[in-house]
Amino acid sequence: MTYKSVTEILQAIKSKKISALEITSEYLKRIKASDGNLNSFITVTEEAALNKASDIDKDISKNNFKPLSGLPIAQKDIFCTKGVKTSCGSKMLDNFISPYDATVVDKLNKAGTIMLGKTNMDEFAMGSSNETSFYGPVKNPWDNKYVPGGSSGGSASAVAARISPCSTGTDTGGSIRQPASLCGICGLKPTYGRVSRFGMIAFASSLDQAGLFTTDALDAAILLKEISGHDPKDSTSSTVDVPDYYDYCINANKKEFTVGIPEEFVNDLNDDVKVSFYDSVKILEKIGCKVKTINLRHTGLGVSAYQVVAPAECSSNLSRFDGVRYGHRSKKSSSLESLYKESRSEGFGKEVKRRILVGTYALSAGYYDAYYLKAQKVRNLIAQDFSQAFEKVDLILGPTTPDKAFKIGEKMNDPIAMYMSDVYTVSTNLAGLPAMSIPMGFKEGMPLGLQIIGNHFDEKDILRLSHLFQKETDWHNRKPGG
Amino acid sequence: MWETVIGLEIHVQLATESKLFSSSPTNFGSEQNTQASIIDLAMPGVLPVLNKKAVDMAIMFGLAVDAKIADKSIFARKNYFYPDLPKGYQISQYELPVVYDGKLEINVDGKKKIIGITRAHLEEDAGKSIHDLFDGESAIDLNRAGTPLIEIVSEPDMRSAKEAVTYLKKIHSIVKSLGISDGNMEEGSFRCDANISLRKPGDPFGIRAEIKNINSFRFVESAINFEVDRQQDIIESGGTVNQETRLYDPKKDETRPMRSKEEANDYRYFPDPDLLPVEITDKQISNIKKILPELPDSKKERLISQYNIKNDDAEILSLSSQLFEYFEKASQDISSAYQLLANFILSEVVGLCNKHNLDISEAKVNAKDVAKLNNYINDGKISMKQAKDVLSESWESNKRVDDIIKSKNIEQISNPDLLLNEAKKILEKHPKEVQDYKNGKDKLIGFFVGQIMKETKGKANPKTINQILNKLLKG
Amino acid sequence: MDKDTIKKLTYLSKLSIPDSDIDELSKNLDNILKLIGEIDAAPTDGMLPMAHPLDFSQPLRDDVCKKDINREENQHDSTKIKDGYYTVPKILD
Repeated sequence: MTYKSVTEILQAIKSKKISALEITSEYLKRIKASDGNLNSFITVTEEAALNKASDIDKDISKNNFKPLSGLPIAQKDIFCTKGVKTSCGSKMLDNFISPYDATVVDKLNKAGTIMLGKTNMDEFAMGSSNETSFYGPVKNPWDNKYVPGGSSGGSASAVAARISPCSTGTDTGGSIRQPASLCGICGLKPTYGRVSRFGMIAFASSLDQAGLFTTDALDAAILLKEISGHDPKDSTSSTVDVPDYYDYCINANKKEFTVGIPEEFVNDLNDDVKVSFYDSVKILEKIGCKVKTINLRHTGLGVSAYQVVAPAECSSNLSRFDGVRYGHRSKKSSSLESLYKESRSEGFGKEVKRRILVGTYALSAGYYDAYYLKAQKVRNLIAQDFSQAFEKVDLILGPTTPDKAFKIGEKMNDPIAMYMSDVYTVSTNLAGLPAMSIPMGFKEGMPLGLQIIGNHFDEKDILRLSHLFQKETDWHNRKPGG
Repeated sequence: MWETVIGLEIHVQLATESKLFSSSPTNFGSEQNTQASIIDLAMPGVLPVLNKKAVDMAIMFGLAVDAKIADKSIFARKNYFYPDLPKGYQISQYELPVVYDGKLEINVDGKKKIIGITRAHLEEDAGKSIHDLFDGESAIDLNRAGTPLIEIVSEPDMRSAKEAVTYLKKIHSIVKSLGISDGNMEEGSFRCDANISLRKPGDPFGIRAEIKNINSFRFVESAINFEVDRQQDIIESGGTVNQETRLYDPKKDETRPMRSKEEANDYRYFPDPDLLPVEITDKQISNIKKILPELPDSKKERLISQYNIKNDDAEILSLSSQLFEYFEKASQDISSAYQLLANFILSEVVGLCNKHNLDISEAKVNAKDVAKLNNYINDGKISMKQAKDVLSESWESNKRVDDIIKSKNIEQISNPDLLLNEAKKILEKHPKEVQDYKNGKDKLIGFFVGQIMKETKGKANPKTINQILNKLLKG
Repeated sequence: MDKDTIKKLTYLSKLSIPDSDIDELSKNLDNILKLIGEIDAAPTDGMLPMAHPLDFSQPLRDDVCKKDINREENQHDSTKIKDGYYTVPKILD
C-alpha cells in the first residue's frame, strides 16, 4: 500500500478502507526492513503500537473518531513517554523509563495517533548531523554515506524513508529545519511558546520548540493544530488562539504574499543552491507573490550569539543529570564528588561536555557581562531586524542550509564547521519566530530545502504559501529510491 | 574596644498549601519522598509554575516592614551541586527581588533602634540529607525540596547579640501575626544565618564569618557570643579571621567550620529562562493591604491606649498573636479591669501552659471562662486564691469554671449582714485579743480575719471582712 | 583557555576530562571562544538583554495541592533507593 501523506491515511481510515491495525503493521514492517541500516529508531514500541491500533479500531467500529485516529507517528526520543525508555540519545539516560508523558505526546495520544517508537537524535539535541548519539549515527536515506542532519536526524530520516508517515522533532538552532532540508521533507518549527515544552527534555529553554516532520505542508497543518495551545504546566507557553491551519491552507484566499529575501541569506551561496533557490522564487512569483530584497543586518552574529546562549542554558539544564535519582550512575562512586564526576563524565559524550564547559564559562563570575548578557543583547538586535523587516514583508525566504548534506564523519573533528551549518536557521530561534523548510530541488542527487520564516504566530501564512508552492511543484513527492 | 557587626539572613517557610513551583503538599513529617513529585525530583523535561499565594505572602511581608514592592521581579538560578538540590540549581532571586528597602524598629533596653531590611526574596527550599541512617551512606529525602521560602536579609545594623535576638523575635512575631508562616523553629520553618564580624568603631567592616542554620533564639545568642570571643582572640593574637561558613554546635556551645560547604563557589546566577518576569500591580498591592492582619506594633499601641495595659505587659501580649487573641477574646466580657485580666492571663494561664509545655493556643481553659473568673474576683464573689484553684481544677478536669464553683460551693460570702454577724461572733469569742488590739497591737486584725475565714471555711470576702472589722473595732 | 581555567570549569560542572584529552579540548574551546568573541563588536549600546522571545508576564498558579505523586513509579530505578530514601556516599558535614 502507498499513502502519500497523513491526509490520505486519515481519509482511508475514516472511510474504513484500511484499519488502524493494518496501517500500523505496514509501517512496523517497513521499519524492520530498513532501519537496521538507517538506524533512525532507538526504540520501536511494536507491542504497544499494535495494542493501541486494536483499541482504535474498536472505537472506529462504533464510529468514534478522533482528529488523528489511527495515524502512526514516530516521537523524537527527547519527549518523555510514560513507561517507555526515553534516552535523549545519551548513555546518561540509557536506563531511564519516563514516569510521565510530555504534553505533546499526551495530546497526540489523545488525538488517536499510534506511536511506532522513539527516534534517534544527537545527544541531548546538541548537534547538526545526528553523529553524536550514543546509539550510533543515523544515515540519510537518499545516500547512506551522508548525514541526515541533526539533532532530529532520526525523525527526519524515518519520514524521508517513508517508514513513518510523520514524526515529532525539536528545534533549538535549526534541529528540525536543517534535517528536513537535507532529507527532502517538510520540517516545521512553530513560534516559541506555540507548543508546550513540558516533558521535552530541555536543552536551551529560551530557544527550544517542539515541531513536526511531514511529507507535505497540509499534513503539517493538520498536526500543528493538535499539538498547539496553552499548557498551564509550561509558564512559557502562549495563550494565543490556535487557528484551524488546515482550513486556512485550503480555503483562505490569500496568495499575493509579499516575501522578503535578505541579502545576507543569499550572498555566499554556491551555484547549485542559488539556481534551486531562484527557481523556487520564480514559482512563488508565478503564484502571485511580490518579492523584495531586505536586510537583516545582524544575522551574521547569530551563530556566535547562539553558541553563548544555548550552552549557557544547557550547562544549567543538564546539572540535574547527576546519577543520584535516575539515569546513569557510575560504579566508581566512592565519594559524593566522584559519584558526580564519574557518572557525568561516563554518561555524557564529547560535544555535550564541550557545551557544558563553554556554558559554564559564559556564566561564570567576571565573564557573565561579556558573554551571556552581551549575547542576550545581540538577540534583541537580531529580533529588531526581523520586526523591522516584517513591517515591509509578510514572509521571509532563503535557503535552509548553505549546501546539501555532508558526509558522515566529515565535520566531526571541526566543531566550528558543524556550528556554521546552522547559519540560516539560528536567528529565527533567537527571535522566537516560526519557520518551515520545504523541499526545493536537488544537488547531485541530494535534497535542498527552502526556508520560509513568518512573524510571531503566523504559522498559517507559512503553511498556506508552502501549500501553494507544493501545488506547483513536485519535490515533496520525491522519495529515496525513486 | 571592638565593635560587633551583625547581619542576619532569615529563611522563613511560607504556610502555603502547595510548593513554590509545583502542586505538591508542604506538610511536615510525611514519609520520605512521598511529597516529591516529578517536578520536585527534577525529572527530565519538567517545568516550574509559580504559586500565587507565595507571591501574595511576600507582598504582605513587604508591607509589614515598610518595604518597597518590585513591580517587576525576576527569578534566577543559583547553580551548585548537592544531593538535596535535585535540579543542580536553586530557583531564587538575584537582581530584582520582590521586596526591598524595608526597615524594622526594635526596642532594646528601653532604647529604640531601626534595623534596615535590604531585601526579602522568594526562593525554593532544598530537601534534607540525613547522615546517620545508613552505614557509609547519606540518605536524601526530597519532601521539603521546593517548599516556598522568603529569605529576609538585614543590613549589618546590629551591634550586639541582644539586638540580633530582639530583631529575630520581632520578625518571628510579624510572620506569625501575618499568618504567612507557622514560625516553627524545631521543624525548620524559621531558620537564621548570622553574619558576624568585628571592627574598631569607625573602621570599615571586618572579615565576617557566616554561622548557618541556627534554629532557636537561645542558640542565636550563644552562637553570636561564642563567635565574637573567637574572632576577638584571633585578631588580638595577630591573626586574621577566615571568611568562611560555620555551624553552631549547641552541645559543645561552639562554632566550627562546615566541612562540606564548597569554598569559592561561583553560583553563576542568571535569569531562569523557564519563568517569566513577575509583574505586581498597585491594585494587587492595595488589595493585599486591605486584608493585612494587625501587626504587633499596632496591637501594642491599642493595648496601651484602648485597654490601659502597662507598656511591658503590652509588649509581651502583642508579640504572640495567639496570646493576643486569647486576651482580646477574654476582654470582650470584661468591662474595665483589663490590667487585672492581663496580669491573670500572663501569670496564671501562661504559667499553666509553660508548666505543661503547651502553647497558649492549646490552653485547657478557654478565654471566656478566664474572663468569668476575673469578673467573679472583681465582683467579690471569689477570692484570687480561689480563682487560681478553680483555674487549676478546670485545666486538669476539663470541667467548666461555673460547674466547679457551684459543686464546691466556694462562692465567696460577701453579704455584709452575714459577715457582720460572723465578725461579731468572733470578737465576742476573743475578748482578750480585742483588748490587745485596742491597746495598739494592730497586727491582730489578721488573727480575726483568719478566725472568720476558718468559720466560713475560707469563703468570706477578705475585703469586706476587713472593712467590717475596722468599723467594729473602732467603735 | 589555560589549563587552570579548564580545571575550574570542570570542578564547577562536575566533569572529569582525562589528561590525554585536555590539549584537544583546549584547542576546541579556544576556537569556540574565538567564534563567540565576535559578539564583542556588536553595536548593543542602549539595548536591553532579551531573556525571552515573547513579551508577557509570569502566569500564577492557584495554591491547591494535587495528589498525583506515585513514589513507586518515580523510584522505579531501585539501584539508588533504600527504604524510600535516595542514597549517596556519606557526606561529611
